[in-house]
Amino acid sequence: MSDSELRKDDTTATTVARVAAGEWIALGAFVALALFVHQQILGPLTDAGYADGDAVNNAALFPRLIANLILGLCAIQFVQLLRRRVQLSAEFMYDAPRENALRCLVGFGILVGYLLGLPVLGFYPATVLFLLAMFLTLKTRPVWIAALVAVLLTLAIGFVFEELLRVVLPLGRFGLTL
Amino acid sequence: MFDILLSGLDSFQSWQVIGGVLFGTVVGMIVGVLPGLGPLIGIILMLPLTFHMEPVAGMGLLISIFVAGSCGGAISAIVLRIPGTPLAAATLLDGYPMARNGRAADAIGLAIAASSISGVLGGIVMIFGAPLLASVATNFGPPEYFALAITGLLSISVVSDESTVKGLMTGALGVLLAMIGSDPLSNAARFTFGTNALSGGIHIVAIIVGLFALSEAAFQIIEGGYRKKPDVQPVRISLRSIKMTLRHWRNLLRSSAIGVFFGALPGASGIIASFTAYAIARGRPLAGDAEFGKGAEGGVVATESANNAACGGAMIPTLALAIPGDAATAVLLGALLLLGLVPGPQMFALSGDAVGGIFLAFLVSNVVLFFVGILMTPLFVAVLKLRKQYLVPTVLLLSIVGVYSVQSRVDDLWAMLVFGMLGFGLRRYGYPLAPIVIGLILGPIAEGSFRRTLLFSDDGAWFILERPIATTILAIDLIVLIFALTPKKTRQQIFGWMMSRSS
Amino acid sequence: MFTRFLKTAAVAALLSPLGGLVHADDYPSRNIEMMFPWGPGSAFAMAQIITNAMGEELDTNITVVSTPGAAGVKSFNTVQDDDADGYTLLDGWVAPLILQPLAGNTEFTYQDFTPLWSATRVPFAIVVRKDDERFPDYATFIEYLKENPGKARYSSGSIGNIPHMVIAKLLQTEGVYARNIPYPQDGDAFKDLRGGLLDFSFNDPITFQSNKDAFKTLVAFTNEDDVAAAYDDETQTLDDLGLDIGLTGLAPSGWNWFLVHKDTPDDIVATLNTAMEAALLRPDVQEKLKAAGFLPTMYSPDQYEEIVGPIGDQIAAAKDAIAWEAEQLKK
Repeated sequence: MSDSELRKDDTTATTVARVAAGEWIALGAFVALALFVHQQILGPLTDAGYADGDAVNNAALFPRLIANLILGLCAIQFVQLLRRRVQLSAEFMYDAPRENALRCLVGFGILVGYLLGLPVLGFYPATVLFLLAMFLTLKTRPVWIAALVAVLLTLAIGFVFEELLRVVLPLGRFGLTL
Repeated sequence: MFDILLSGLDSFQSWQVIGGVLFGTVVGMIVGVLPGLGPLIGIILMLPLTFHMEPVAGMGLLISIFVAGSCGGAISAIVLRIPGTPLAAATLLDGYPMARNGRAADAIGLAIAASSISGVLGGIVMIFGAPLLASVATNFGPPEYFALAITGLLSISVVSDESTVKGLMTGALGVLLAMIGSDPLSNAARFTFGTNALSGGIHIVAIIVGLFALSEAAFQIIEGGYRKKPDVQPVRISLRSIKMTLRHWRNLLRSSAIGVFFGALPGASGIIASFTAYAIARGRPLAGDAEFGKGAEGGVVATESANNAACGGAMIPTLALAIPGDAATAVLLGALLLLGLVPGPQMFALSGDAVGGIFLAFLVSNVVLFFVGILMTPLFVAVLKLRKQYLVPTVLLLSIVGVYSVQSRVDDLWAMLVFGMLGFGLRRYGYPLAPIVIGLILGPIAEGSFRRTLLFSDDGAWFILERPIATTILAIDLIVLIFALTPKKTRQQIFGWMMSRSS
Repeated sequence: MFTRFLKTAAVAALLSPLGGLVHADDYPSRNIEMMFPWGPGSAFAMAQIITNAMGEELDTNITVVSTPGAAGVKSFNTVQDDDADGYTLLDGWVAPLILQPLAGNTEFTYQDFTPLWSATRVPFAIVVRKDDERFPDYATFIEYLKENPGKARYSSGSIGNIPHMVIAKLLQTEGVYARNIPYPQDGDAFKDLRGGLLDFSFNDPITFQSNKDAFKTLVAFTNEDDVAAAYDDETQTLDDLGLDIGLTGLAPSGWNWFLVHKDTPDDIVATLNTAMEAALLRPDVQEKLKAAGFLPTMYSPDQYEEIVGPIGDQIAAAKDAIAWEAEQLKK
């Protein structure tokens, strides 16, 4: 029984023919996390003198406990994966078309661009560009409608946050505000 | 005690007060619904406005934001699968499946009605039981808090539908994430890489909005169908939701009691209350209701009544001892002082018009919440009618601006982005996100109270056993844990054996 | 509003495609922010009282932003990294301003900021439970600590803050010590004092007023009778008890001074100062601050050096009491 044959609302543990590589990667990430915690305790925290002593000073006490707990849980999960017992969440059993996955990636790139552009361009120009790019990525046509919605939405949200909620939005080099 | 309310009637009956409560409720709803903003930010943003208002009107405005903001987050959880506030993280578990089953309006109605009713209940307890409950709260020291934190962490195994092991793993991740920044006890910098940006830790709002909102946007894009208009039934404004909620009256009362209790403990907060209420409600499903995790009405009722009853509870130590339970009540306390009202036991005894007016404002704001909420429900459901190609970028933008508004730092947005990627990966492989929220909230409480317990003790952690309340709570935790770990078959056999013995 | 937006946009597009737009003559032309070093609470609301009045004088909004972290130092670093254009103010509380630099935890000193007016002070006191028979007065309290070295437990809120330094210094002067239990939320410490877990605790006037049924003061850290009266009439000052702990005036209190980036243009600083003075002199502002237990200090910007300098010297001498306390406990 392969992943895609599972029923969409099936959340009970199921034996699968092949454990997805992502499961192993996720497990590996948690092991790495626990090791990282130990590294931080043995490195920076010990150097700063906060890894021992009484309960005030010993900032490593609890992180160490949690890191070991994670390692223990990882061991259980490791055995589960060896037995090819996998519990998949109910929500994401569908196969993603390649094209959509690509759009998701593009959307992520746009977001990164937006965060980079925000401090430089300021809220208003950056947001109009961000929205326009997102709209177009999600197949909004014609372009002028997408552009119009992007501008209006930016102004509306800017108005609510800047004028009503008095938040100081990123100014950028141009210093544009409402 | 009724005379307090009566004496407050005069100061309550002014247009400024009623206007303040109405306006506060609408603002509270909005900050609750918007991802990132929440009751705390709403109160902070509106506080300067109250400096020019009459005391009761000003407090009425702020309290309504507190009350409505604690409820509003449920709506985005139900409609968008994004908790508008951390308080609503547990509401998502059944609220969103309800919406997926085409019952978005019902779910919102339940959430609002449950919030409103339990809010009034919490308010009544606040007015009449404050001195008593405040004295109970002072008996809860670090050992008791540690025991309660363990109880809360145990609820992870119940709420993580997918896998207990994975749930515990993400719960532990949440605990670790809360440790980033300055250790609140020793001031040591933990996991900061020596940077200023991380020295205050990662803001919980950036983590939660990133995990839930960004990952949801990604999944929506992958799912496709950008132009499709979802088929949403027209919503009529009705009072039906009260009837629907009252069908769950046991659950409502129990969850409200849980909410008031956790609210009244400084530091515990509505988030633990809602997860605990959910975990307990799950064990007692109502006949005819859907299965928990798949759109059970009881799930929404439990979480929403718990976190709104917690509002009244949280006001108890704030008003009776000037000890605020969380940041939102801390600011409310500041506002109260500015109005010339000194909290403390004498506040209840001496009363005065203003105190009575504030109590009335609290009760009325919960009632107003219901009507404003029901009136606004069609508007919220209409969001579902938006085409995905507009909805997804808009929600993304609102999340970004919301997170930015908290501390005005672009750093927080990068953190949000990282947690968006993390949330996507975790959800893809069936690691539940709700335990992260529990870990984030309970981690610092568990750590702080554990270390403080050691400091109070002369003989290590055994000090806990000298404290009867803490010992009792831990003993119950142990039984629950053993019970949860026992295979279902063995459990049924034990039950069968016990039943046969008793008959 | 929209036309203003277009105008600014047009001007910006024409004038400076890359350079910053700092015009002192039209300052302030937009919302101002003030960084606040702690989590939101009463002190946050006090900052809002003052900035709100300042904003009215300047005809703009001043938003207070809470950026806690690194014992308050994070917000100071943030202001230092920001533009010196007068749009980012700093609520300079004493611990990150003086104590942390002295402890070697910062790269700045108080001289690396330009002062506006001083804001408020909060006098601290040692409180015990009213019904605690061990401590009828200050003398028996010290006697008890002498007989039970290191056994008593108290809280100053966080470790290494001003109340911690003041209490440790007092105890060191008396030749006694006790264990400080850290609580990130001061309120939790007061709750545990009420509940009987802690033996004594620091306190501020407002919490004391609210817990008068259960708490009594042993000593208020001030030399002035009217400051001690913020607690109650029976509260004794350091002078009343004949104590000299080397901390006088503002030094043993919590206090804050509004600051801006050092490179802020003089005319902008002058504009801010005029607004802040007017705001502080407003009777409603004074009344509200006092009602909440935050006493306005009313020192002008010129007095910054003469007031803060000596406080720095006193704190430098007193801060070692914290390390001394830790050493005694280790023994």
